[in-house]
Amino acid sequence: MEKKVLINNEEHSIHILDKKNDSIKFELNGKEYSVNLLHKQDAVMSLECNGKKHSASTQKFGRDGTIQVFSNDLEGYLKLPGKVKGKRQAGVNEGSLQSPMPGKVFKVVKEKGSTVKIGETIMILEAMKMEHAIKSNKDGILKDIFFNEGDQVTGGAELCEIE
Amino acid sequence: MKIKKILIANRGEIALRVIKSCKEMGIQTVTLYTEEDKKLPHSYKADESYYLGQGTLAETYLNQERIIEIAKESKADAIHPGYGFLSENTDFCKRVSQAGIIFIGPSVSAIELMGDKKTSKDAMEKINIPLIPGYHGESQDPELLESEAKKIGYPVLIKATAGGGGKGMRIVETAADFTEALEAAKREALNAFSNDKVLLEKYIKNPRHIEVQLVSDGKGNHFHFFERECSIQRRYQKVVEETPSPALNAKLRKDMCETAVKISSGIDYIGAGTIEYILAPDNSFYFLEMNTRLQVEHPITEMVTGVDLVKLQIEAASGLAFDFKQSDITQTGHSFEVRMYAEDPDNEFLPTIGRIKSIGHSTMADVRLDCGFADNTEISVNYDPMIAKLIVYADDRDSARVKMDKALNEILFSGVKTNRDYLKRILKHPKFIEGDIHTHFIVDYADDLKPNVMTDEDKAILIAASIFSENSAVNPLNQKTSSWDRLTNFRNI
Repeated sequence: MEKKVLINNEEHSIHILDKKNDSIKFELNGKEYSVNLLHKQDAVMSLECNGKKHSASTQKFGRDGTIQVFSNDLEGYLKLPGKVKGKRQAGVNEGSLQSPMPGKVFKVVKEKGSTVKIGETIMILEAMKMEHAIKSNKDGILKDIFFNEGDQVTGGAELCEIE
Repeated sequence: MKIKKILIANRGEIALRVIKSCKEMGIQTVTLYTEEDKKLPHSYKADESYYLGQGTLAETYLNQERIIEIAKESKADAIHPGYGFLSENTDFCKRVSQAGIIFIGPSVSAIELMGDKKTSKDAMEKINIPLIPGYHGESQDPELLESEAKKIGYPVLIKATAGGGGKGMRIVETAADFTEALEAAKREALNAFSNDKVLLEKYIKNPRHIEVQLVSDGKGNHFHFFERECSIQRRYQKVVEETPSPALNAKLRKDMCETAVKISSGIDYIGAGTIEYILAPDNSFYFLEMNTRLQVEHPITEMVTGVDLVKLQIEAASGLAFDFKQSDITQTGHSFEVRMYAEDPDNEFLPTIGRIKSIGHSTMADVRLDCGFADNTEISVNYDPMIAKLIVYADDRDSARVKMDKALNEILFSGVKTNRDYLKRILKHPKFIEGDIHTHFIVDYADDLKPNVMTDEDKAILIAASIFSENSAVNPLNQKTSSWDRLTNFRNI
């Protein structure tokens, strides 16, 4: 059974050979991994992977089905089969700029209808008392700006459209 | 005068830090909280806590009138301002004193003198403290500033005179960038401090940031508590701090510490303060500024000296003379602090928010977590992104470094994305291990500090763990205790 898994937004293909409640066998990049769940307390689990022990803890992360996993020196953000609906940012217009974080529109530098060059600052967002410049990702005309100064924006919101 | 009750005009970890010393000294505490903060520990760990409502910072934690009113209502004899917020606000300091309440901090004149980068440098010049070449003049004419920058020689640093925390600061590499950088610095300064005055300075390549902790009792006793090295910074915000500094030999340490004491006695300072220096690669050092408050990174000094700095602040404010000598203060072992930020270092360090599911706790001795959050509390965009300080102590630098790396595997802040993994990458960088660091470390080694490449086995472990977590409803971790309750091995002597 072929399944797609996103690890830190990067797509991987696994082939599941066997799956039980406390053990799983799968193939990743041509190698077989047999992992047993030996013990679990709260979010912390003890795993045995191909005969070697590891501890890991997991946590639901955000609302999109992402799972945050910690294991010794590893920290990963995973999406599992059935939850993978294409990479993040899919479906957004190519000419639009998204808010990279939640915050407030501190200043709109460019006017609607003006010409913008790649790398030019269009607006400045502010969150946690730090300014962050939103720069144009291409040369073009600033067709529309969807927020005014002082507006609150969510992470991932479309801020403006460039043509 | 014996202080019996202290109002803490701050929030989060520093409010809890002050509560801790107060409890140990038998002093009652009063804290403040807003609508957003009503579930955070500082709102319920004090003896009393007062609601500030909902609103901007100016309407809440910076609302001087309301805070003084609460101090009177709760019959507090003193106000501890923590750091940031009102800690270096002379208006507040004056109003507190006028209300007959003790301000736990230096005198108004000391804050005024050191709060302005220009007046502080003039004062330092008078007592022969080394300063970086620059322009500290009154005139703010852009053309004059540009010609002064040329005189100093590029690269030049533009700094807001009222600044701090990297706001209103710009490095200018060439004359062509000067005008734009000046405008940006002034805009940021105006916004942050309502004052857009700037100064110019020679920009020193590969400098180290070394600071010296001071405490004076106001009876003429000025003490230093050795140095802290804070060279690992990002956008002028400190990220990793340590003491002792691997850059100092005994003579240089003595010079820097004695110069700091000379400044303290030269301005007749009272309370806790910090002299910040720039240390050049040739071991020359320059006065940068004095912070007239408790520093965020004060815990590492407490770890190596065994002193409770908040207790000393309170004693100095009570008018008690210190009963120890400089030679009683010793620096033993090594301590690191890392600042945990709610940010994504692998996505332009953008702030992250969210609900902390589980903070985690350390199983090792001499690990201290100063954190204002508890499990199942929210990180909001309206306050600073620093969510915790993790401090470790060990016999030597490398043991402390390794211990910090292990401690970061225990303090996870699961549920939110933090700089935790990034801090581990810094701690393991070969130059960091050698102690060969400077203030541009993070920028210069940005490529080395990118996420570690995972092996297929690593990925397999992560995949298996996430599949097992999906299978049975394990989540969430519902621990009843907060990280504060689990704080272990806090050294205080």
